Amino acid sequence: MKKAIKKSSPATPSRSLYDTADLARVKYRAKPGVSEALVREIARAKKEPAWMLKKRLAALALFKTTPLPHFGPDLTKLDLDKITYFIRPDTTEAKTWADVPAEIKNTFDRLGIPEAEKKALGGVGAQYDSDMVYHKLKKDLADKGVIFENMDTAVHEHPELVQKYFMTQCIPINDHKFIMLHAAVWSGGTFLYVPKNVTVDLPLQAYFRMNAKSGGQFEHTLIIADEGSQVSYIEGCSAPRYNVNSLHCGGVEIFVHKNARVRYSSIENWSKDTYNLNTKRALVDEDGVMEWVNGNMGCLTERALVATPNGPVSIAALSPTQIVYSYDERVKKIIKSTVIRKIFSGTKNVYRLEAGGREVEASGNHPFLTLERKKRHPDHKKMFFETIWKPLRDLRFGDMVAIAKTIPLSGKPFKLPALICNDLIKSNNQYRAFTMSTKHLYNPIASPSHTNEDFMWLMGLLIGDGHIDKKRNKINLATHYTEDYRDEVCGVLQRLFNYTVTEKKDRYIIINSKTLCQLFTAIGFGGTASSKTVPAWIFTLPPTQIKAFLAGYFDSDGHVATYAIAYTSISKKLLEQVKLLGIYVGYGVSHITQHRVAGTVTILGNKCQASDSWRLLFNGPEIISLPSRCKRKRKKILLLKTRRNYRGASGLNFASQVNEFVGFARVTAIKKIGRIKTYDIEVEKYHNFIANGLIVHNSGVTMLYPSSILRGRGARSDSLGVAFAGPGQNQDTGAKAIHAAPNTSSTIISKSISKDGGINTFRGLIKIMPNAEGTNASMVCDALLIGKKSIANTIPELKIKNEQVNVAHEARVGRIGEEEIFYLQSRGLTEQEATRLVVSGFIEPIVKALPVEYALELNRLIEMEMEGAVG
Amino acid sequence: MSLQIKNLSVVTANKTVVKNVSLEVKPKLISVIMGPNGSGKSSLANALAGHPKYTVTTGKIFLDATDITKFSPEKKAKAGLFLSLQHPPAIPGVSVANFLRLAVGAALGQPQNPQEFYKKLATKLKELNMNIDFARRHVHVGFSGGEKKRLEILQLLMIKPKYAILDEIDSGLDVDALKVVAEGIVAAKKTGTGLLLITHYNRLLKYVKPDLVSVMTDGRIIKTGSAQLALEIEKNGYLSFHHALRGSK
Repeated sequence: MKKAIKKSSPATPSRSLYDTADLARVKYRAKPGVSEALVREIARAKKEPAWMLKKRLAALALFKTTPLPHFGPDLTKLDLDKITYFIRPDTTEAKTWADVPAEIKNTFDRLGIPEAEKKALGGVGAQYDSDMVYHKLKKDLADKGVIFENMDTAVHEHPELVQKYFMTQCIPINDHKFIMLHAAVWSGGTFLYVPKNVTVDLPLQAYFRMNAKSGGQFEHTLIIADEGSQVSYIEGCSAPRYNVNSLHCGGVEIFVHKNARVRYSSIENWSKDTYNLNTKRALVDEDGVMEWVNGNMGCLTERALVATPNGPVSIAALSPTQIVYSYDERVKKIIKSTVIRKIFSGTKNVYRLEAGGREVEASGNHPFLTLERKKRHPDHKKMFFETIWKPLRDLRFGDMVAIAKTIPLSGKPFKLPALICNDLIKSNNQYRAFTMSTKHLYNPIASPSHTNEDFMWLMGLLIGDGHIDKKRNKINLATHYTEDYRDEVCGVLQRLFNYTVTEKKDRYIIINSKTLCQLFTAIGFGGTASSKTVPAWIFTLPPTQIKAFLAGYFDSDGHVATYAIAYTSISKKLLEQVKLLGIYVGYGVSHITQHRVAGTVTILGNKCQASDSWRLLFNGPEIISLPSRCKRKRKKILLLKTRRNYRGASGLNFASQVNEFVGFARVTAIKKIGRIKTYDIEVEKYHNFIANGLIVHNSGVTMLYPSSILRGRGARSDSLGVAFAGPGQNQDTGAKAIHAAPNTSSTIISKSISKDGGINTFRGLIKIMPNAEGTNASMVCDALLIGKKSIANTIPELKIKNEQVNVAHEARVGRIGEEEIFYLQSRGLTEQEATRLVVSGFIEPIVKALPVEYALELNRLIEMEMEGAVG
Repeated sequence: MSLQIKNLSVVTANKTVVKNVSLEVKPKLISVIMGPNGSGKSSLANALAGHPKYTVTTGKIFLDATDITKFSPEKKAKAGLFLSLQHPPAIPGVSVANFLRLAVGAALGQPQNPQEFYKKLATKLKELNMNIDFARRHVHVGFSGGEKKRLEILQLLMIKPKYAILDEIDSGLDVDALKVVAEGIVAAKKTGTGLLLITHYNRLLKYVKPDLVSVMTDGRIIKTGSAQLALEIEKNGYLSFHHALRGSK
C-alpha cells in the first residue's frame, strides 16, 4: 500500500521537504513587537484606505487592554513582543510561474504547487510570508465573476465587499484577544467571492507558508458564497521548523448565503513549534450548507538536561537533528535517536519529581515510564509487573518510575590542545632589552595528544582539591604528605608531562609550570572552589576515563560514608554535573543535600567564614570498581555495604523488567515548584528521552475546533475530523455547531486513532437556541484504539434551549482485534501492514471526502505516525 | 510435495484441543475432516495457520518439506498456505478490491499494479457470476453468510495457494451459494491446490468428491478412509464411530 501511494503521488509533499528554510529574500522586516507605529506602517506599506487603518487601530486598542484568554492551552509566556509581525518578501506579485523568483519557486516546487496546478485545479494562491507571490485564476472562473484574490488586493479592488464582510459579523474584532491582535496586524490571505448561482467545480486551494524565522502569520481568509453558489476550498499549511516559536494566528471567515454550499478542507501539519491559534468560523444562512473537513496531527512539555552523546544538554538548547539517548522499550535498551523537533510549550505549572536520587522538573501532563503490578487473570494470585507510560499528575509517592542506570557511552578520548611553550623571556639590563631562551634551564614539558586515565585522574584531583594560581603560574594540588597517593601524583606528572615535582609542602604539592596552567585552563579547569565546573567534553569520554576522573575527585575530596561514597562541595552545580557523570557510567546516585549552612566554622582552631556546602553520595554495587588510587580509601570502599541495583523495592522483585541500562526506583517526592517555561522535544521512533537520568516521554497537544453558526432557516453544517495520537501524544480536537434558526441541521463526525498509549479527546458542542425548533443535530465519535493503554475521551456538550429538536449523540470505541489482524496476516500481510490497513479503513469516510492529493497527504501522515512501534 | 502434519497437539485457553494428529494434504487432492461440533477441527485449522491463541505444543508441520511449525501467519501465507476462516472478520473502510490486491501481492511477493489487477479481478468476478460492485464493497461488512464464503472462495482463486484449509466453507449457505463454493473448490483443485475441507455435514460432498475423508472426535483422528466414509457418517452419525472405537478398546 505504501509503495502504491508513493508512486501515485509525486505532488505529495513529504515532511522533510518543509524542513529547510530558504534564504528568504526579505524586503522589509518590521521590528519585533506590536505598536501603533507598526500598525500604521503596515497600513502605509499596503497603501490601505483609511477605514481599514481605523479598524486596525481600534483592534489594537482593544488588544492592549484585554487580558489573555483562560481557555485552551497555556499561552501566558508566548512572547508577543518577540514576534515579527510583518515581513514583505522582496518581490511583487507575479502572474505567471516564470516570473516567480528562483528561491521562492524552489520552496513551492518542493511543496508541489505547480504540480497541483498541472492537475488543473481551479486556481492557486500561494502565500509566501505576507504577500501573495503567485496567484492565478482560471479564465473561465474569472468569466463567471468569481473573485479569487489576495486579501490585500481585495481591500483595494473590492472595498464594498470587504468593508461589509471583513471582521464584522462572523468574527468581530472584539471576539477575543488573539482576534484583536489578528485584526490589528493581519496581512495577506485569500479573498474568495462566488457570485449568485455560480458553481465552482474544482476545489480552489491556497498554500500558506511561514518562512522567515519567528514570522507571525496573520493571514485572513474571507470566503463569501453568495446565494445558490457552490465552492470547495482547501487550505494547506506547512511551516519550516525553527527553534524560536512561531505564531500562527489566522482568521477564517466564511459566509454561506441562502442555498449556497461551501466545503472547507484543511490538513493541519504545522511544524510543532508553531503556535496555532486559528479561529475558523462560518455563518450559514437559510438552506445553506457548510462542510468542514479536518485532518490533524500535533504535539507538548518539559525542561531538563537531556542525555546526549555530547554530554547533558539543556532541553532548551537542543535542536532538531541532534542525537539524544532514547529507551527502546522493545529490546529494553538505551540507544541513540534523533531529535525531530523541539517545542517551546509555554509557561506551565511545574512539579519536581524525585526518584532514585534523580530529580526532574516537568509539567503535570508529562509522561514517565512506570511499573505497574497486574494480574494476568483475575483469579490468579501471582502479580506481574508491566511497564506503562503515566503522566506526572497520575504519579504518587511510592510509585515506580524508570531510571537510566547507565548510558551506553561510545566515548572517545578528548584531543588535548597543543601546548603553548614560551621558552623565550623578554628582559632588559642597563644596556638594552633582550630575549633570552630558557630552554636549557628546564626539562621541556610534554603532553599526551589525547586524554587518558592518568590524565583524567589528575583532572579529578585538580577539580577536587586543586587550585590554579594564574598570577603566579603555578598549580597547588592538595595532597597531604601522609597520603599514600602522593607518590602516584608525582609519578603521573612525570609520565604525562615529563614534569618532576620539586616543591612539596606538608599539605600540598606545587606544580610550577605556566604551560600546564595554560593547558588546564584552556580545557576548562580554571575555576575557583565556588566556580569550578565539569567541562562538557568529559561526558564524551570513554567510561573508564570518566571513572578515573570521578576517582581522582574522590581521592582528593571524597570520603567513604556508611553506605556510600560522598563528595562534598560548596558548588552545588559542580555536584550536579558530577552526579550526571555518575549516572552516565552507571553509579547509583543520591539527591544532593545541604551539608552545611553558611556561617562561621572552626577549621584547625581558626574561626573562619564558610559558605553553604552540599553533599552527593554514590552508591550501588558498581562503585566497588571506582578506580581510586588511594590505597587507604580503596580498602574502605571494598568494605562498603552498598546495594542499590533498582531490581526490587520493599520486598517487590521486578528483576525481569530491569537490566544494566534500566531500573525502577520509587518516587520519593513530588513537589509543586511554580510556573516555569517548559519545552519538549520530539524524538524519532522511540518518542522518549533521558532527562536527568529519568526516562521521560515526549508529548503532544493539539487543539482545534472549527465552528458553524446556523442563522438561517434550514441551514446545515457538516463537520468531519480525524485525529491521531501516538505514544505520549495528547490530541484535543472538536467541532461546534450553533443552531440559531429553525429547522437547521448539523452533523459532527469525529474519528480518532489512539495508538500505544496515545490520548485523544474530542469535544463537541451542539448549542440549540430557543428559536431553533425542528432542529436535527447529531454527533458521532468513533475511536479506534491500537495497542495497550490507549485512551479515547469524548466530551459532548449539548446545550439545548428548545424542546422541539432531535439531537443524537453516539460514541463508539473500537479496538483493533486479534481476529482482524490474524485474518490479514493469514493473507500474507505483516502485522504492521495489517494494522495500517485497518487504520486506513477506519478513516476512509474522511479520506473519501478529501480531494485526492489531500487524501494522499493524510494517508501518508497517518502512515508516518503508524511507523515504528507497532507490535 | 505435500502439506504434512505430524503428531500435532494444540493447546488453547489451557485446554488441549488437538491431540497427536497426523495428516497429509497432497496437491490436486481434496482431503476432508469431518467431525461433530467441538471436536477440534477449527482449532486444528487455526493452529495450522498460526493463530496466536493456539499454541502447538508437540508435533511439526511441513510444507513441501519445509518445517513451517514456528512460522508467523504471514510467513506461512507466503510459503503457500491459505486458511479460510469459519467466521471471517469485517474490515470497515477497506474495499474488497484493495484487500485482494494486497493479499495477492503479499502471496506472490510482488506488489500488484492496481490497474492491471482490477482488470484481472473483473474477469474473475465474471467467471464466478459475481457483480463488479462486489469488489467495491468493504471486506465482509454487512455480508450475508453466502457472500462471506464467496469472498473467501474468490480469494482462494486469486491467491492460488499451494495448500488451502477451508474451515466450514459450506455452513450457512443456500443451494446456489453452495454450488458456487463447490465450483470454486473444484477450480482450485484443477490449478494444483491441495485442499483440506473441514465440515460436519455431507452437503458439500455431494458437489465435491473428496479423495480422502478423516473423522475427528475429541481432538483425535479416529478413522480415515475414502469418500465412502462420508456416506457412512451420513447414515449412522458420528456416535457410531465413537462407540465403535470405544468398543474396540
